[in-house]
Amino acid sequence: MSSVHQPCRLPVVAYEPLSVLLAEVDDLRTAADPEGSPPLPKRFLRHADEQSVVAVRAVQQALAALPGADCSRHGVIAAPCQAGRIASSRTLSQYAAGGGVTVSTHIVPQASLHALAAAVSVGLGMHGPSLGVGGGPQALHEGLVTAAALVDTPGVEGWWLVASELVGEPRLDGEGQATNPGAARVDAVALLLAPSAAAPQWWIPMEHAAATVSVDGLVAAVEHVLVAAPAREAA
Amino acid sequence: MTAAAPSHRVARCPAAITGMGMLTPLGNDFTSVGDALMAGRSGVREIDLVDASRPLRQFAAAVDVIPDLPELQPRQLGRGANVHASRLERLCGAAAVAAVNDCGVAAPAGRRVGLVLGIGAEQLKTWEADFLAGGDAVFSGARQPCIAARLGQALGLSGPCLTVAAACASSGYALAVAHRWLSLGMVDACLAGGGDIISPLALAAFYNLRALSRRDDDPVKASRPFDKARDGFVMGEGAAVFMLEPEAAARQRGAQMHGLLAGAGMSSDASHMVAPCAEPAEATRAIESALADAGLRPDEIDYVNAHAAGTPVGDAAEALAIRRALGDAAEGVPVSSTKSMSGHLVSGASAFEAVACLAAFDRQAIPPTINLDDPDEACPLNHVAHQARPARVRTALSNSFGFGGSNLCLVLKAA
Repeated sequence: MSSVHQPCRLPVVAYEPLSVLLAEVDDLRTAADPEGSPPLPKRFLRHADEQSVVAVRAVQQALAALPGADCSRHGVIAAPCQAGRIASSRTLSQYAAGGGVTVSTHIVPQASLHALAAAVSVGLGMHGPSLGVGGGPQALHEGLVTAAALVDTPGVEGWWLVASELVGEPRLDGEGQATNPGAARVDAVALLLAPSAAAPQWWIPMEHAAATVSVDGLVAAVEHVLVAAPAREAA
Repeated sequence: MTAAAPSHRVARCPAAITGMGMLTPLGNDFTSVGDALMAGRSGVREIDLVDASRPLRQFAAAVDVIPDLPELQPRQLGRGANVHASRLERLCGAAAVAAVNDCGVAAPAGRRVGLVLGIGAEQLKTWEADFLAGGDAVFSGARQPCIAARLGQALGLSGPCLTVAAACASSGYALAVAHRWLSLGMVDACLAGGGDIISPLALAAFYNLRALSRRDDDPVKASRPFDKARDGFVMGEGAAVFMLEPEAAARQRGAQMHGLLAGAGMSSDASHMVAPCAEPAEATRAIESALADAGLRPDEIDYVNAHAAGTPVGDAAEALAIRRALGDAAEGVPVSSTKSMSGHLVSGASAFEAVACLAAFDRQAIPPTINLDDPDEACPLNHVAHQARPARVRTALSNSFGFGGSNLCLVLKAA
């Protein structure tokens, strides 16, 4: 008989979903920072993956709703699904035509699995640990299981669990353009987990985490596992 | 300014390393790798991935042969009969299978065994391999299970199986996550490590970033961490995977123990997506956190296996971080970078360098930094240059730093 147990639940103090048409992601790169959120360095999102752009903006919106929050000792767990595919398709097509000299210097730092977490950490000045998790179709579930392990890390005052996906995984052409750009969408969800929070707004019971893999759609999957904290716990 | 010390000093339960498997440029088993490290033998050589658009000869530290194991056939991995595993999958899989075999206990009924692999760019490398073989997965976007999930199925693991990524610190993060799963009782045992492969796109990308050494006249001399003439890293490839179990449980069942994973520290520079921070406050914090996690003082460390890849800024920043974190003890603690021999295994570097620390325990000697002919004054450390140094080695720090400002430090102890 196994003696294994898991932490019962993750406390959530902020939740921000953001859904953006793929065709509108470029506008989001240069959009003004949400009022009340930490500003990004100038042109910071210029070369970022589409999922990173939406995820960073989701975190900014969540922070805007937490006035006075100090995120400098926060950590980041990013759980994207197939991030970097658009840049990779473009880069591979160029490589086939022109060899190594055509390969962008941004492909590794912006299209690898760590890139989304790094974009949140670097862009918003978070010095806690940052890592990518999963990268495939079960990324949200894997992000939750990783968060359960790390949430009580000494010296880390909060963890952003940021999940994202290119909804429907549109087919791309050789230049990295979606063949149905009008319909393609990027979804991201930012959750702030804080183990010492006196007033979590929601809980994620860990026995619910596995359910994320059977719910279609990122936002729906997150909302499926969020449980509103009772008033006496949230007070 | 020195980073403030972490406020907590929580000694977690050490994880016993009861099995290990590896495929590396220096050998595919612990004895061969230990022999190579202590002999100061380089795994760097000219390679065949010729890119006609390049004026230079290409060189790297490659793995010669990846075995075709029965455990990793398409059916075991949940693939179609003729859909064979990618090179990256076979590399990580072979290391995991070797770790299970070395441990002697696979996944007996009632034991929940997990798997955490540090692979920085699994999707990118998978798309690249498919594209170069004539496939269109990158364009179609068909979602496929990750390598960790497939290996978990192939190995019959009942615990969580997932991939983590923190660039060149990826496999160290994998070990840290596994350590915490064990500490929390989320698994009874856990396979953890990581790996990476050399690919045309990766070589080109790092070359274009000017991160790679261009010393193509003598590839064996190209990887020269801490040396004044260093000009970048040499790409390597390989994988190392460990079986971790709670120390008490391992002792109870009389398991062999190669060593203990005693602690981990993690932080982020939050300064740049590529460049390391020349002011290493956060790298220092990661080292201090690892010591606190292990419950050790700086003067209790016998060896530092440095990240030092041979980049001008990174090596100097790390030297400063080591000196700050260890304080007065830094004068006496021997430091080396085994990347001078293995090249930089990228995602697999941290796990491979944990193997190097275990080799130091096993041989009671410090592996050297080869090619360290003229130590840079900006890296004032107690270097072990050219030749292995006999020493009493019971504890070791191993640093890994990566793109995106990832800092990771592991503390290992002899069993």
